[in-house]
Amino acid sequence: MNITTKVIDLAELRAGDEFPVYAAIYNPESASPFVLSPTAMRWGDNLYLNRLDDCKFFWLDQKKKLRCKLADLFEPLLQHYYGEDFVAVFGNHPWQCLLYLHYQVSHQGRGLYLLESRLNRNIFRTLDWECWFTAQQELAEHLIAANARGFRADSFQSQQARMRRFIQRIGVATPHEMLAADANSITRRFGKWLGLIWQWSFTESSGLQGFPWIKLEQEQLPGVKRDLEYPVNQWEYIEVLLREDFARLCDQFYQHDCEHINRMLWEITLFNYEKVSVELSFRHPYSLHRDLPGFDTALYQARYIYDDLVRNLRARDGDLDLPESMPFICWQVQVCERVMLAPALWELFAREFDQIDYQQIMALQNKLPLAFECYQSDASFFPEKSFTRIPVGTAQTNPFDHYPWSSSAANKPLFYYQQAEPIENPTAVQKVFLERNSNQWWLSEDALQSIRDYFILKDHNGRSSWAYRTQGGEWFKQGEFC
Amino acid sequence: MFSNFNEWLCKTNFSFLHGASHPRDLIERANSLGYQSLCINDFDGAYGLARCYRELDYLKKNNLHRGLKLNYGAEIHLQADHDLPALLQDTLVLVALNQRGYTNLNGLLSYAHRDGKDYANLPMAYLLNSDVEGLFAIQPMRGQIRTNKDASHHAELKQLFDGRYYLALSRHLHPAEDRWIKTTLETAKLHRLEYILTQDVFFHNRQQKCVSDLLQAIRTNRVFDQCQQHFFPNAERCLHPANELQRLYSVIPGYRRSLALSQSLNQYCQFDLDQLGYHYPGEMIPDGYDAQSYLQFLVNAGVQEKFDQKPPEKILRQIEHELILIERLNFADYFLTVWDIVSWARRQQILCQGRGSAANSSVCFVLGITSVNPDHFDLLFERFVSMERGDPPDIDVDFEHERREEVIQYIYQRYGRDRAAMVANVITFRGKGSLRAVGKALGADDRLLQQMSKIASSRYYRGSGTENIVMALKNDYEKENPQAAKISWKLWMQLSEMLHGFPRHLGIHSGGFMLADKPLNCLLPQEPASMAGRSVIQWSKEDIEALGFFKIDILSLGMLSAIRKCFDYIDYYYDTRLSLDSIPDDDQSTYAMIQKADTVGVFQIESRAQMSMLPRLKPACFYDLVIEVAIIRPGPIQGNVIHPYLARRNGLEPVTYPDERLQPILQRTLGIAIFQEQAMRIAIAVGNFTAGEANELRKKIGSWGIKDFNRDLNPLLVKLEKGMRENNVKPKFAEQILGQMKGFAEYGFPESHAVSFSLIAYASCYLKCHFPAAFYISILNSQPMGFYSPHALLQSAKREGIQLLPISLNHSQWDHRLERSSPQKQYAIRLGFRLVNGLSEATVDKIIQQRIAANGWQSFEHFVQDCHLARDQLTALAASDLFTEAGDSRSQALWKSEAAPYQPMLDEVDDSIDWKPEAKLESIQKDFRAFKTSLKKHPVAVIKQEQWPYPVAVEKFTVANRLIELPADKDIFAFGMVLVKQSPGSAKGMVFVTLEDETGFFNLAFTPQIYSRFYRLVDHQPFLSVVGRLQRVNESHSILVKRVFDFESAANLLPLRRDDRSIEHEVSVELIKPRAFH
Repeated sequence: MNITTKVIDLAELRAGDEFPVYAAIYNPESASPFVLSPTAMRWGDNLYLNRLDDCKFFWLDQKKKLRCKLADLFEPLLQHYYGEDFVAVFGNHPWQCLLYLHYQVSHQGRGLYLLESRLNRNIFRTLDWECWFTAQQELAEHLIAANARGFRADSFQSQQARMRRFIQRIGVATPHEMLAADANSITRRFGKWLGLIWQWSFTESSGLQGFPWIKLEQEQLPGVKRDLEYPVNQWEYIEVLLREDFARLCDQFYQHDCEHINRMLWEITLFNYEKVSVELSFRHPYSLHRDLPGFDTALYQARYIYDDLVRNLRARDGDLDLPESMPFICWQVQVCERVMLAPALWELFAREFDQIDYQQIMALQNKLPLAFECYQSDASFFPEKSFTRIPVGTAQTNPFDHYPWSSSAANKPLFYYQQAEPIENPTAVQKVFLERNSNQWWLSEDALQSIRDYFILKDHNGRSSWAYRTQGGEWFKQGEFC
Repeated sequence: MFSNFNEWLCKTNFSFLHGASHPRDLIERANSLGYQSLCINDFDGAYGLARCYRELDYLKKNNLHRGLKLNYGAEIHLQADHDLPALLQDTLVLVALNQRGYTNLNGLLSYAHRDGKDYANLPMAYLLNSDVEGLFAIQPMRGQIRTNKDASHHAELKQLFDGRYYLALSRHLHPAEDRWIKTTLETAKLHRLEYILTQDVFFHNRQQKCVSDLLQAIRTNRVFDQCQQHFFPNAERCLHPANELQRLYSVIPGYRRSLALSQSLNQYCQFDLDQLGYHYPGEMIPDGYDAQSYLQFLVNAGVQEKFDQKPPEKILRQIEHELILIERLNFADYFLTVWDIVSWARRQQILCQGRGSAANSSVCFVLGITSVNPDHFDLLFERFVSMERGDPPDIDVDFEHERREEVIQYIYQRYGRDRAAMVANVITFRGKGSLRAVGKALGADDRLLQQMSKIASSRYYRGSGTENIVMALKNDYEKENPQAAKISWKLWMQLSEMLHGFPRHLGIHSGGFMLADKPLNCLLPQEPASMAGRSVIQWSKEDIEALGFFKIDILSLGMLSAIRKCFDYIDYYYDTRLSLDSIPDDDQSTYAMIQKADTVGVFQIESRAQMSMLPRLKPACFYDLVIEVAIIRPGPIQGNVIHPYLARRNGLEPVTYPDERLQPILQRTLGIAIFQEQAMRIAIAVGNFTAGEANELRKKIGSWGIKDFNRDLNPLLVKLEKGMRENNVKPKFAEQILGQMKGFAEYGFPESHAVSFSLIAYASCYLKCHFPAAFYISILNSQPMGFYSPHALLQSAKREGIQLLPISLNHSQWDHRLERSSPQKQYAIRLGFRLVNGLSEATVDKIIQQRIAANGWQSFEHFVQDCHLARDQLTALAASDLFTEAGDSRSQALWKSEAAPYQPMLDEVDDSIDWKPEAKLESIQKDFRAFKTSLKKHPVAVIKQEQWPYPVAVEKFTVANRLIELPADKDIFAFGMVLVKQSPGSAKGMVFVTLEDETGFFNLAFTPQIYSRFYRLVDHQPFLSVVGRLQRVNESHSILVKRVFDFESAANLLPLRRDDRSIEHEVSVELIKPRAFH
């Protein structure tokens, strides 16, 4: 039953000019939480709460300028950011906004609702118990996260179950039929938290009063733009300019020690106004701040990209009458992914890898064009799982050392193919049986092909390979001995 | 050298969730590979030994035996490390060399289970101080203890076992394990120990490896990917042929010496299970008597008492014959033991009666064990005991279900915990259980498992096989979740089928007791059952029967409790003392009631099928009742004997015999074979069977499950068919007999058993006929029992004119009672508090005590001031609308009750809410939820009048009591509340549903086609609205359904359904729960 579409003029849903304090906004695709206010809380997947009174005067000013209603002020903005499928409820209590939003989502409602409008208030009164209880599922998690005093999930659940049994026994179809009950009556019967929720839900002008508001930190992605005064195509010049840009970028971070970059986008405009986007990515989180003043690591990665780019452009445009290397006329460097790493984390690593200066290795890897890794044997008798690729220096003693099969990994080669290669007719001067093994038969439909015999095959040149034979007699090469 | 290998370490699937092969598969494979011996040593028990013995016995009897010998042992945990992977658990294998060793082994196993069923273990310190004579020990090449070659326990064990302590040496083609060989050889050298070669078998062939992995996933309750450390690295822990053994073990240094050691050990193992000497207890025998003479004495006394000192000659001859047989077979002490228990029960006023084949015995009758008078019936004692068969007799005795525990504790007390234990019941993975276990291991989420469970429980898919269920699940799942991760449906299906029949854990038999004259440890180990105060042996009923041990079945029968209560009520309310013996025979008004099928609540003839048969058979004497009880069973139904019997009985068909030789056998049943005994006699008379073979046939059809059906029963059926052909028996009759045999395999009655049950059925009918109010309260006060729910029983009572009074705060007791306002008036039934869901008897006791002191209550507040009840108890009373008589509506009372504790509430009564009055249907619905029934108007009548949701006009629908007036073969519309749904295996996919309306019952029959079309409605709706053709024979009717109507408008026209759906976490409330009958 969708009252909003069937019965009443939709405009009524957006009537009302009282400035709301909170908004709950849901968008099935994705949602940026900071569209209407810098103060937000993440409630669930793609569902955010905003506290609007932090920028109340800004909005009221805008409203005054545009001479429109509040709904007309917010709706185009929300449509712009979220598209057509959003549901937003504006009201004076976050819990009421959430409840009504649940109601609208479950009734396929879309758009903006001002809860304090008369019509929405009336609809709000019809919401049923299921809606009321369902909305509480996420609440419990937030109460735990907010360390709400005296809240225990298990006793809350049992109180909920008791209240559900009560309303089933008594046959009350909606909370509205019980609105005469005050929060104290509910508290007395079903505990403090259900009493509070009752108060948040149905008592006019109730404050937050224990509602678990957890403020979401805002993210800003730094970026810099450079317009060149003259076209440049020599790396020596580009390097100098990029170094300056990285320094500017560095300034945009406000917690230098914590903020690390995973990925940057370098958008270059060529001499012929062609735009090329290339990515500067780092194997480990990279701190511009720690790389001051030379920014060697970032510049190494930029140089590899530059070399690649020039090579590709030459290959593409070699027959055209162009300068030896296509000059750049402007670019933009934008951080795409960043990660906040607390300094304590680095200290922890430093202690653990006292002997080998782990940071230096990571920094070195960030500078290299290729990965720098090693392998470790693993506690599994499944060949596919008997090795793990790990960063250099992270080898640890095997946690499953006491399991008998872990030692069998020692017989396996250090280089193995991700996908075993079939061998048509294995010709070997020597064939040494190594072991009989299971594979992960439950991943295939045919459970009976679960046994493999592993051999070392030596060819005429003395090269040894690690191969297996299935139960059906087919041979596959799994690895090579060095 | 390897051609006659001796395998010393082998686990069956009775090493619960470890061994991955059935005993049969292991024995068959070892035998076919030409092994000289196989030693079974399951973890911490003797669970699989008897099964293996039975399998080997089968091979011997069928000339398939190639010389395999069975050795007996067990692998005992040395500490409670059962949660580790099997390869890391520290264990020791003990093998019995002789009977003394076997007894010692059982003693150690019983001790290992001292703290319960799980985590059985035998500390090394205890073992080192134990008697291990007749045992030798093997240290498996597994566990952590093995890794320490310098450990002192090797020397200690060598000394304890007097040098008979060996190391196991296994080779499984895995380098990690191969390294252990070196350690084992070094340990052997260091401690001067011998080692024996063993494959350390956990499954019979390599294909079972996946089952082994699956069991580990189930055992650890994880998905496959998370428990790989529990898997064996490969599939080599199986039984290998000689050439593979040669290749594997001939590289081991000293292998010849080791094989020679195995040979000699095998020769030293002189124990077999058939050596177990077994005797029943004899303490009830007074001085100066032996078992036989005392039995003779008791029989003589019983004859005088039962036949008033004038025993018929026939009986004396029969008793003499039986006593001779009992003496020859040495069974006297068994009869005395059962007599002792029954006599004790009688002295305690506990109603009891023997059932089953024991009712064929005149000795049992005169001893008071059974009630079937041999003077009235032609019973076949050989069905019970035969010289040729020599099998132990099996006496099943029913006791009142509410007092059976007293009997069980008496047995423990009389014979001691070491000499009495209950028989085990092996719980196996079946259907839904195996699908669920495999699904979990494959990583199916809870939602999917619930969906599977729903499909598998659906009547439509029940028994339809794993494949159909998985395919239905796949279709539903892929339709609902097109983007969901891929699931290995085929693997799910295959593994579930492989897991089917695997033992899951050990349960307890419903009543089987094993008693012995010496401690049971001499025979087999025991362990504490999960039910407090009971101990259980490790073998099932089939196992102990195969070994010739006796058991007595202490069964419970709800109807006996009801009858005993009914006698008490009749004495109390009507001042008439009745007993089973004093109920008059051949009471015509009772038979008149039976013929009208007014049998709701009585014993045996109350089911829908039985009730529809009664007006056709019109039982007029006791033997008719015996036929009635026996004929509605899968055996006779599959033998297609019902219609011919009815036709002959009603004179529509002449009584003929397929062969003259069969006339004496079939005379009493009008030429039709109905009972098991008749099938046996026919096999002897015209099937070329000896008496022994006929008994074998009976035993097979009685005791083997479907899995063994083909292997064990088919050869006998082929022989029977051939024999009948050779004896020129009419092919049609031969076919009928064979069909019946197959039916008996599922469920068929021996005549003696039918007679025993009919005695109780008749008694219950007599009580219902003459004292209906007392009868109904006795049934209601014995719940749970029987076929019908309390609601159905109360509705039936109401239709029979008995007034029902509601549960009352000021008048009701825990039990239902009879009340009348004046001595001239008829008794009415006052419902008791026992109907109220969630209310305990202790609370009711408290209420009644307070009520006497307070002289009743006039208000809710007054009540709660007097009775300080827990909140859930108080709300249970409020939900049952009990405070209406104190002036508060259900809603008001509930609102007040939820605010308990009460004192502060009384200070500030919160009645701010103005509760809406309940609608009629809503009120009924709440009654059902609160106390399983409602005394208000029938819900069907209310729906018809006020909330009719179906597309067909309500005026078209008929009521049940008008069916008799309507013409047969016409379409009629019926609407009612679903009472019972049945789809018996013998009905070839037909589904039967009983509906109830305000006037009586509708019997609906759904063909498989119609059911498959409407099964979602039939399975899930509490009310059904149907149209179908009325079929009638005499006074019985059924409606062959053509169509089921769904709601025309929204389902919320029936609040009963809507509320059940909307309250997710509440246990769904079914109006009526159909129960299986005995």
